[in-house]
Amino acid sequence: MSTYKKEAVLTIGFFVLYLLMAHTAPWAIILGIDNSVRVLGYPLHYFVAIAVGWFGVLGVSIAWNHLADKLDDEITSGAEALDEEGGITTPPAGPGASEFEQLKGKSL
Amino acid sequence: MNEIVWQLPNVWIGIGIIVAVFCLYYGVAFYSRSGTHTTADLYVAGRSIGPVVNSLAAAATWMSVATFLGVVALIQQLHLPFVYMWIQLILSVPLLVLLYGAMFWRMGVFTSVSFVRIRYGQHAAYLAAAWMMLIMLMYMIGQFVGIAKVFEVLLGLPYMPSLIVSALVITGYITIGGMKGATYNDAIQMVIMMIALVVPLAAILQHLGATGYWFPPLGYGNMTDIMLSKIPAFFDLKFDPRFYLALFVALTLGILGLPQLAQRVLTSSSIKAARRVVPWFCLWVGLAFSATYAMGFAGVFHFASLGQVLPPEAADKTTLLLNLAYNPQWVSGFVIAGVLAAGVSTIAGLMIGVATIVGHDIIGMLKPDLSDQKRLRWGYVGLAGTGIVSLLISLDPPAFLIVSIFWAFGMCASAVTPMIVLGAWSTRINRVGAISGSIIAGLFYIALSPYVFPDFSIGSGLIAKLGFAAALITVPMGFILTVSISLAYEKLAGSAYQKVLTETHDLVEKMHGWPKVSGTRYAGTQWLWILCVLWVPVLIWGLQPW
Repeated sequence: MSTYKKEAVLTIGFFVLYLLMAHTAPWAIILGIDNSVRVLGYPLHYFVAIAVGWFGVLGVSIAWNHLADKLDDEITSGAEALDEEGGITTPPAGPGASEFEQLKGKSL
Repeated sequence: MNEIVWQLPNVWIGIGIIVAVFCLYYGVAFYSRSGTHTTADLYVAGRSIGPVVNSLAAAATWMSVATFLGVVALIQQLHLPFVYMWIQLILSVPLLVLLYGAMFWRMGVFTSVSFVRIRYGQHAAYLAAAWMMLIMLMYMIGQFVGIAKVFEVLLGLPYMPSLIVSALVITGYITIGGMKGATYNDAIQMVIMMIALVVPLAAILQHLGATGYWFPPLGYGNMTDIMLSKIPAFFDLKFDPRFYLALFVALTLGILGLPQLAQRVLTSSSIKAARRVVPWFCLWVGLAFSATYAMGFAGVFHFASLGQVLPPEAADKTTLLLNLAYNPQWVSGFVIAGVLAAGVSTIAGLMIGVATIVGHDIIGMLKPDLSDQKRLRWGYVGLAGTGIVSLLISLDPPAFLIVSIFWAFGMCASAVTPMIVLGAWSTRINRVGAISGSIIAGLFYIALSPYVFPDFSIGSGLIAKLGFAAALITVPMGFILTVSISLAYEKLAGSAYQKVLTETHDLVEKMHGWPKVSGTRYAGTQWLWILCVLWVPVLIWGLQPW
């Protein structure tokens, strides 16, 4: 898979994962609720909401950090871009972003 | 219920603790001032903040007075659905960093408006600035009023002098310290908030009989049966699936466009540091949110046990009441300091956000040749001016500015999020599509809500007041219009548009970090049309009567 496609898959994948972790009401609607099914004393759907809404989101964030850093390294290495795309060489972007300043005010 | 029962018996304990913490905030602000030499120092702390401090500061910006007061009250009214409503707010920073934060950092911009200006041009930037300032002003006025009410109700001090003095004191320390001071103060305030929320809560839960009181966020499970015997519907979903879809459409998509949080991420020392903010942020916010649900649960449990039903205005003070009932007075004083920390940290982020848009983006567009030193001076004027203007508006706020902040999130989702997210991920979105989509969706959102044209409003009750009913129509509208008008304009403009498209490829690909521009990445239209098709059923569902 090309780095460009990896970026798209990673972003969409983690967007969906984040939604699944922090929006657990649809799970409860689909699976139904039963207050007699308990975890640590809480009804299952309530426990899932508060625990997954915290630790689930945290876990997804750690995984995303790891994969996004790796992807960034692949993108900035530029090797693939040189081989596959053969585009115009531009200076690496950075916090100064002077090249972006040249575009300021232009209507795109 | 008599108001006086909510006040600290010894007001001086509360005032003493508050004066002490504000002295600390001013000390940090003066210390930070010595390191502020450029506009980048003033607005984004010289991009020098590490992930742990930044995550604490971002979490503090996100926690407002409502975390201590309003949330607990709303859990008492809505029970479980409000917990679902609040939980997804943790996605604010994760989603904005995932979808555009790293790209903004790479561009070196200070705000979302700066991005809009570079991506779409000045007209779109003025429009984005107007929406963002409206949203932040609504937010800020709510915090100023909330803080004055804390002084009035919890300490028995007169409202108007409390509002004026607290607003001036807060404006003073934020102006002195700039983003660097605000960041370190926000981090300190987040620590104060977490201690003020979690530690006293452990004692409250112990008194109420929770066996896991030593870890309050998950320590009250053994109280479930008693709660169910008193309020059998506490854990019910209550609302239909459309309500829960609206949480995603109006709130999740709204909060990911909030400028003050995006700016906070831009203070990071590197892209990797900006990413590291996310898990730390989730840790702190998850802890604070979970403690808030526990406090709400404890409040419902406490009053249900006493057989009392609180009126909404009294429910707001549940956190303090529980502390007064179960903890020593000085603890309640510290909790009040926590409430104020929540309010002032939010105001700090908003004030700097507004001041950056005014002092940097708007003045930068009007006077592009201004030197950095002059911009820095304008920045300080902007900061102080933002505080003063917000105070003046807060003295007698227009009704439309004091509606629920949840409503403002829906406006952000309709008018701001599409132009930012689509603009960062597609080179085919252009100025005409972005401006048209933003104006039409934003104005429709206002028109369909019950505040300006009540007869034209969609839905009723809470669903309408929070903007959920309107957002289910206007958010899909915003995305569909932005895409379809952009592509239609591109077709109409013909070959004359090619130069613009080339420049857009250059910009968008470099934003994503590509060292060579291919001219083909982010240029597909298929996914844009798929996105529009996915929005159609949401729009149709939103158009059905509630």
